[in-house]
Amino acid sequence: MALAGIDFFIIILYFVGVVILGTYFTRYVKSSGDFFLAGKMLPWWAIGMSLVVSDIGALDFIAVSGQGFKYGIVVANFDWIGCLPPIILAAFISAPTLWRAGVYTIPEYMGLRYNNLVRAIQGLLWGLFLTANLGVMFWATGLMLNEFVPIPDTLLGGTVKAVLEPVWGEHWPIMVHIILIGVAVGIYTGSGGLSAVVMTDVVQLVVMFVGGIAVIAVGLYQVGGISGLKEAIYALGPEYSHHFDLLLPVDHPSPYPWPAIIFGLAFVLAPAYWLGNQAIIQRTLGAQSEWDAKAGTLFAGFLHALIPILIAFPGLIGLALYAHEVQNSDLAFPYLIHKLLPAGMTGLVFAAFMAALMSSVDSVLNSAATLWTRDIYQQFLFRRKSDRHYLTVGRILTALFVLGGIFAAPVVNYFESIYQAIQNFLTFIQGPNLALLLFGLLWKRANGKGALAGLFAGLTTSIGLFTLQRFYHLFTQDDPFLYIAWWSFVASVAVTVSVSLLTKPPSPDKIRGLVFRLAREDREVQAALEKRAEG
Amino acid sequence: MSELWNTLGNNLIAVLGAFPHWLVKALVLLGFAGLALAGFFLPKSYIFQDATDRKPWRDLRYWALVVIALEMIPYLFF
Repeated sequence: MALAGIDFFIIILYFVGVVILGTYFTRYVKSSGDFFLAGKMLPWWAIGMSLVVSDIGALDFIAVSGQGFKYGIVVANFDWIGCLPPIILAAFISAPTLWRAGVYTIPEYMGLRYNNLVRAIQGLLWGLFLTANLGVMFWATGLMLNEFVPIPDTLLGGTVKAVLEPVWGEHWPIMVHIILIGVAVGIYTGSGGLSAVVMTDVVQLVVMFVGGIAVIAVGLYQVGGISGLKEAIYALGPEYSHHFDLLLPVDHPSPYPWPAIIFGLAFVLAPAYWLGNQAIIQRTLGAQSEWDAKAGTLFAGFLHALIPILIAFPGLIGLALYAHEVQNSDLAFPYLIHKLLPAGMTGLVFAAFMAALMSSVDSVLNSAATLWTRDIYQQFLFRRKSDRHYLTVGRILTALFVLGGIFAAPVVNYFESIYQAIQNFLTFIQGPNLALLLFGLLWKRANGKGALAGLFAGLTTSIGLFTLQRFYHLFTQDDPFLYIAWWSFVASVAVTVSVSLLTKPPSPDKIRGLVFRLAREDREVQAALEKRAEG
Repeated sequence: MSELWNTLGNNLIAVLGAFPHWLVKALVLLGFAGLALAGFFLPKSYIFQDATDRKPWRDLRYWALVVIALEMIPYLFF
């Protein structure tokens, strides 16, 4: 991708602006509550915008466009049926209940609702996943930037290129990008905490939408609108006949036939993500009121409805315009930018790309620091320290995770399977995590023993099915992660219910304010909330 | 062992494959509609909890309706 001087100017302006804005919020951080939950001062519009941009990463632009190019509009399911229904559930059930509970993390809720062992296991699982994921995100970031950002020919009259080219070739080394992004995100996340993350996310969402819409507007104009797009793709041959079907037949060879989309994605992975992913839920826990927590989540749904147009449609436009030129579907998006956009606009789209990238990294960084501080360090290592102490620990952990991510990133390159292993790990824990969260929120009879047994049953099922697939090809798809998520959820549900019913129910005092209906109907809880609202 | 799994899997695929495409789509749309309407079964006090006033635009049930309406459009057309 060739970037002109004006493109570099836009990108640098964006980059420096975001770091300055994020660092500005350091002045509002006086306690660990300010750092981890933005002092519970976040308004609904900021929560909504932050939720969307935290969910959408730079990889989505590349990978979803690539999948759109390959399989068609069916990939939009991940952002339509895979987002909006669970967002409604999150807005009315999980966000307000967790907000009322006053917790910082999902494992903390699990500890209050079930027991400390469940909290410890959940804390470790999520802590490990988020931390390992940082290394992968850093490496993917470096790879993408290395691919798309050559050393500019014109910088300082070509002197920079003349000096660096003999050493590094035409592109900056991957580690230069990783260090630059890591340090920039680390500075504002480590100093300003969740406020900085959310407020920079607001700017990043605007940049991402403007850049994304620019690509779509130019692309659709070139292809002759939606009808022209359809005609061009159908004309490519019968193998493209399902490219505009959101629900594919059961025997479709892609990983997305409708039962996988409905049972695996809509019933398990999507709710698990929107109701129980710490990196997502954390901004609603920092809402200034319960109404803002609910409204922010619903506002995210409204914005999210537009996301597939920004990330899946470029793949379809790329297919319609350059089907025979693009050999690797993952290059559909960059190829489209390269071919369609003039100088200046490329910089804008690249800034959008950076926005998506940085907003996802800062969210994971902040959530990983919160989890390790609250659920591991504070809960199991040093319990009775001052609030100032935990604030410092949160900041030190943020810095350590940045350094760890930077150093761990190149390892991903040597062990290609690490990336896949981390994705599989997420699939393994999502089903049981959702079962425990749903029962915790909705069923007062669910108890600690049931939750613990359900957690193990779900994890065992995931790992068992994964192993069977590896050796016996249990499923017809090559990568049946949606089916594995579904069956691990079913196993977890069955065992949690059975063991809970066979053992003693939790006492009403233990679950007070932690179960959706009880929290809603408990007069004392309501009175306390109204008193708090009055001031 | 793998034969048993294959038989089970094939039967499951045959059962699910028997559902016509239009029926699956109709059920999905029905599910969306149900979700949008479910909000109206929640008490108003819960919907407006902590809201600074009770102006109609703050009624989150209507927000949910808009979100679900946006969701239904692509499933009606594609």
